[in-house]
Amino acid sequence: MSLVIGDISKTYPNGVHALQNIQLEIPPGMFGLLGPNGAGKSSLMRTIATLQDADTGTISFHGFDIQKDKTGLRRQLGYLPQEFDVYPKTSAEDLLDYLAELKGVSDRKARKELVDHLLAVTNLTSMRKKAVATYSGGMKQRFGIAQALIGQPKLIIVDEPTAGLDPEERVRFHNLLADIKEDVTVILSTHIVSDVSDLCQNFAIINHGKVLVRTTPKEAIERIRGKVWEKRIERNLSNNLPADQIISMHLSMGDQVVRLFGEDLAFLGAEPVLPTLEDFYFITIKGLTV
Amino acid sequence: MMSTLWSNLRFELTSRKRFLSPYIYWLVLTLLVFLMVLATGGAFKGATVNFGLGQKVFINSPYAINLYSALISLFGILIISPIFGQAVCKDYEAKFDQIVLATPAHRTGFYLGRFLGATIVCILIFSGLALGQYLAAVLPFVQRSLFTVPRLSAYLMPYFSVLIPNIIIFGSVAFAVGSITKKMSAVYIAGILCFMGYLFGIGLSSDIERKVLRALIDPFGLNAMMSLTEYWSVTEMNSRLVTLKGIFLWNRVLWLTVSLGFLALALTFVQRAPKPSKNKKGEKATDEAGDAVEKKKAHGAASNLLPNVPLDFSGAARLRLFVKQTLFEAKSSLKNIYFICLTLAGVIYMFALNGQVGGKIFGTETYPTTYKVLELSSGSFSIFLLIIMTFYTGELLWRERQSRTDQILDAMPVPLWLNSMAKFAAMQIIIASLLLIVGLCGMIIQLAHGYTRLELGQVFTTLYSIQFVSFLILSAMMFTIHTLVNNKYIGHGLFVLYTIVTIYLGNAGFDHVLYRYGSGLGGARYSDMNGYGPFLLKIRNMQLYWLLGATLLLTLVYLFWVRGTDNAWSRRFAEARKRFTRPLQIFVVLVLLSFIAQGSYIYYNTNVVNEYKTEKQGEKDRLAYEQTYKVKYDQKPQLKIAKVKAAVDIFPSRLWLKSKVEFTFDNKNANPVDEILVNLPVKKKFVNLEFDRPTDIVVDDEKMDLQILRFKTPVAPGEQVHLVYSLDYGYEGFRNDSTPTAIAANGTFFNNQSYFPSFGYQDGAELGSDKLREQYGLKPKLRMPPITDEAAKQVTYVTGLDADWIDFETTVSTDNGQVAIAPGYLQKDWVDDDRHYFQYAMDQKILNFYSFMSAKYEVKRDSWNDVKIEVFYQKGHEYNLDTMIDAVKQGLAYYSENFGPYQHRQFRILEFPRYATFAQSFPNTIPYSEAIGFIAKVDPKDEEDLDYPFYVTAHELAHQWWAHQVIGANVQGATMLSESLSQYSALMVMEKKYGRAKMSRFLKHEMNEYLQSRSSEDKKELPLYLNENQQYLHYAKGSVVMFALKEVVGEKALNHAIRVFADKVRYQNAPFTTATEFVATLKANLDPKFHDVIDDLLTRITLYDNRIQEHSTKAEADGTYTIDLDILGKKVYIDDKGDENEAPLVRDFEFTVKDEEGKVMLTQNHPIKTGQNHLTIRVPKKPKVLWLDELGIWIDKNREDNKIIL
Repeated sequence: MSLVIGDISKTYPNGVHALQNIQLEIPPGMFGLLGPNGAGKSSLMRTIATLQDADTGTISFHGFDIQKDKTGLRRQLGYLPQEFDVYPKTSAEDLLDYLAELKGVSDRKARKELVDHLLAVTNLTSMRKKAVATYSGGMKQRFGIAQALIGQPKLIIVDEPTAGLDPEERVRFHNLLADIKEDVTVILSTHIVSDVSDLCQNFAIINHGKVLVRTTPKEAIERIRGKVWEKRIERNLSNNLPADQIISMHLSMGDQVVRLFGEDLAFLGAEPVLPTLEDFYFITIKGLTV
Repeated sequence: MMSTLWSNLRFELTSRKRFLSPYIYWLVLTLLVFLMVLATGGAFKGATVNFGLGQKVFINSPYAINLYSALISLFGILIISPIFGQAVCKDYEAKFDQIVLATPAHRTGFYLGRFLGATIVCILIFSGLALGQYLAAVLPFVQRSLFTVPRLSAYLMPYFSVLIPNIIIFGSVAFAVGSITKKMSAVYIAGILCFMGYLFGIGLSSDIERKVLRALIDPFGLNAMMSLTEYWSVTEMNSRLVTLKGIFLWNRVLWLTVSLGFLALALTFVQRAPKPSKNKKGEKATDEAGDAVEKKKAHGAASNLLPNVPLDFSGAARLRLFVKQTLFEAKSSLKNIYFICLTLAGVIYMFALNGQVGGKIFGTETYPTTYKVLELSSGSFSIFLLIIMTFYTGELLWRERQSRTDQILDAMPVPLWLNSMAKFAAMQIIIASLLLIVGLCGMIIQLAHGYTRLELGQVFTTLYSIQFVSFLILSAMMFTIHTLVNNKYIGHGLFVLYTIVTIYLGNAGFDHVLYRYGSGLGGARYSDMNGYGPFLLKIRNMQLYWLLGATLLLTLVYLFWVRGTDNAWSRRFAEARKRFTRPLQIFVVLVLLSFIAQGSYIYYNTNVVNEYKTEKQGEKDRLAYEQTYKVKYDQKPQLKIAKVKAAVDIFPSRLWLKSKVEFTFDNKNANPVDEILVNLPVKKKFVNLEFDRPTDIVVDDEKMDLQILRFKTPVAPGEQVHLVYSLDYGYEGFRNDSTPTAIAANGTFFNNQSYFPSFGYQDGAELGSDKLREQYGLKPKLRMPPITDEAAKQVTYVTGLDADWIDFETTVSTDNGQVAIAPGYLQKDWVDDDRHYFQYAMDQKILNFYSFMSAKYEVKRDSWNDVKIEVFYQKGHEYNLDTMIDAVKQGLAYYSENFGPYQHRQFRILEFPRYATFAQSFPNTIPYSEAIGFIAKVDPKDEEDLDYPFYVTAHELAHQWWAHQVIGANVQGATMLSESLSQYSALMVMEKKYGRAKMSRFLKHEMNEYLQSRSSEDKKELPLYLNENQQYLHYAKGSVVMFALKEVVGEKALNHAIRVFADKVRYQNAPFTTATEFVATLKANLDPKFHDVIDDLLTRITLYDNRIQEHSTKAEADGTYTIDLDILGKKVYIDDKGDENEAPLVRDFEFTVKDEEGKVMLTQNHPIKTGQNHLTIRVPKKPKVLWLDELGIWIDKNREDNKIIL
């Protein structure tokens, strides 16, 4: 395991228990942190990124305590915050150069090459002279990942990077993340299940500041295989399906489609379907049981 | 529209209700004015502040309430701007604009509602002003006698005349700027620029010609209010409401109109749809286009997403990064448009003030010497520098968080010290660049004046080694406050509060440099003669001390620097504890120890080597002096000095003085004298007293530096006693209060009152201010004994009890290379053991008032008849030597012809450093400050310029008659005999040289000075012949009335009468003469028809208020013109209570008519009587200007209406 989060808790001054006894062991590779808005994902990410301290508990990366040696971790860290802007009127090229220097790339020539390279891999070369503040959402996120890649980070934290991106930009972003070498630990927080199913070897679901489950996408689907059912109902008809077994509802061609969780729900007129990671997510969040 | 207006108004009010800031603002304003009133009202013992109020003006008088409200509203702009700015900007700042603006609400109504809402909020905030003033005035701690019966109208009036108009004026400015820029920072800048109007107004104040402009240009209305009430008497200030009229009304109307313009501008701008945020679409398209091409490249590159780069975390790399980071931070501030605007505003302001190189004397410029230009430039720029520092401390510290780059940057592997200290260093670069601008602008100003004597070394020392260090130390405090409170706005607020508290504490008697952060770092007065003189020693020591203090503060900044997203206090403490590592602990301990060590050294200097006395302690000592010794020793018959023989050794290089003075005393009393009270000028340990008969020490009061000795055998009437007084004294170390400058490395100047003892009870040592006396339970003190006090006539007003006329001789020595000078004629000089000795003897009895000087001098010599004239001056100050010598020659001629012969065979002018700015007349010797005449730049072609080196010289020369021959008794009116007569004498010499017309310029200054000062008279105004050593009377009014008297009775007749008086009292012995005798002599020697005008001028307070009401001009058939005038004549006497009583007026006034080229066509006298007068004047050509009393000899309360443009 590369990153070990040992029983950390955090209460904000306004009384919100943002993190409650979080325990997680995260191996190298892509790790997804899935949860609804307000689950505590960003609090956890910021804590790992040394931007805030937990009240209790420890976090260690490759064996050393990051709360004790923050600079040590920062030297190996690439961080893309959930919300960020940049200095006004500063071009991507200048800003990356500046950040690279802050990250310890002090050799001018090496820095120039690195910046060019990062601009190329994030498809920003043609826009490098433009002020980052004027970028579109997708471009800004690519810039964000470019800066996170500076200085061979061993730990990359990307916080809700795909929120608000159009499908094409999301794919582009996924491709970028997927290209990161496997010995690097990448933590991706998201509320979008497909981010995890597309990219992550491991993931955890977190809600109300607690880790609900930690597993792999494959195993998750395995766990609920054969227990997911689907029923179509006309929209204006009321359904009397058991509320504690409903995974999700959505509309399809004007009909209400209800996905249910249970051992055998044929008696309700439901049909068995192939489970998805999204089913697993909702089952976990809602705490459904068989 | 109305409903939108109403709902926005309500929204504005309800949303503000939930914020803390309006309540804090209210509290701060209320408290501020509350404390102001308490402080002025004497609630804090030892604090004597008056915020520009005269002592006799009640603190809750309408005038005072208006003044305080207006002063507070200067600070109010700091509140008004953000409230109005936010009323428009909050939607944009919260990114809520698109939602709000998408509603179908009526835009004008919408924003008008916000505007009114903000207005009401501000009025509510300002409501505390009346309350605070009222509450403080009724508290028991204040001195009742300083307050009058409260009047509701007095408290309400300022709201309508000053406060609410100002809210609307500055509110509309902020509102407009907010609407146009949608940015709060722009709103703040606009608020700051509004200050400029006020500052410009103040800056113009040295020229009375620009009075109207000064009053109008100030958007705060303060200057206009001052202008309206400028000549108000104390009674008026205490009773009259400051209503909106005259120039004050015009100011308000002007600025409210301007504000309506701003509001209209704002409302037009908000109608416009917000700009689409940049041209995103266009750029995005480019991106897409480039994408296809890039995809291929990207694919190849992707295989190596995290390329190997050399990472360098070494110390050297960190240091390079620190430098780079500092430059980056500084550059981004220096490039900022607001920074440039503010700097530019400061530069413009600096040039505006410097255009006339301030410190004008009588409206005449001085040469722009480096120190003058630097003082003026940095003085005028410093307010901008402070504002920029305050503003940019906030910006620097909040830049990442405001641009929301903070999370990325905080996660960078950059050590904490690098972030925080780079920002601090960047601030220093900002300060240094601003000071560079000051320096450059100063030199440009010098060159623009054609002054090429640039002194780069002085510029560097003043700006960098003194001012920069002081700003650096201050900025450490700013950083600390901002870092600790971690809220930009509260940070700014606290800093302003810190500044106010610091000033206040200083005024309240907490004045030791050891605990007033950043104190003792300035105050160097550069002199061309003496360079930085003695000032740098203290400054350097204080710099070291406060730099250590600042280092400690910066450690706090480091410890509590916020990094990351969690800034709860408990966290910050925990974090600080972690950051406080062992090496840092050792560092802090070392710095702290050095700080304490340096502090102890300072304490040793200020409190051990020198005496530290708080102002309050000083007051108590004076109180004790009065209580202990007055009863027994005041007016007690005592010995008089008959002869002084002084050996004085000045050691300029080590600021030391040794002297041995032989005093010979006479007992001129009818009874034996058994005791002598000696007031020592310095501590006992520096002096030794040795009488030629045995004495016992009866009292040895070390606190008062006073000894009373009893003669074992009393001194019989007519008997003589000798005293040898030895002094071995100098300046050691440095002091908490001002640095003494009398003994100087180059330019020593002191008189016998500074370092020689005085004898007998000195009533001048008593507490003088009635307000203070009341606090200590003492009766008010007479400023001078009444003119009828027979006992007081036994002594002169200059030398008091010590002596009448004395014989004087002295030997002065100084370092070889300097010249030492004292009154008398040089008998011989010699050099011995590298010291230069000068022996002077006086062949004439003189007053017990003599000076000693020593400096490296150049000498210019001339003579008039058998009188040798010498000017001893600093090399480089040759500008006005000829003028001075010319004044001496003309003066000698005029005075000796009209007032009697000159008593000496020599006349010397000696320059001394500008630590004082006067010239003073000693027997045949005039010490003359380098700052007043030597660097005057009189432009002979400039109609407006007044040749004051000539005037000052003539005035001081006249004192050789008026004071050194004719000396008044120590009663009211004494200074009329010395100062007013010297003014008159000088005026006559000036008139001879420049002509009568030119005198109006001088008289105008004098009349203005008199009218302004009489409203701040502390007690009650007296007629000239009873004046109590008051400059506004004996100089200003004296000039005008004596000149008027000359105009009425004629120069010859007046001079004759004066001569009769002089001959009668010259060198007289006790009892000495008085102004009563002078007036009587004038009357006896002038035609009785002049008696009434003599009384009007000298023994009454007479004011005129003539007004040209109507006028018309008619062209006659023969080409001439007739002017018809309706004139309202009015004359008043001021009675004992200070009230005006109308008096019958019948007097000839001079009318002057000028043609279109400004040439005088006609000068004619016409009688004016009380009430309506009709007058027809005929002139040969088309008239342009008509003046009633253009010369300005009749004191008129409003001269504006004595002039008409036809």
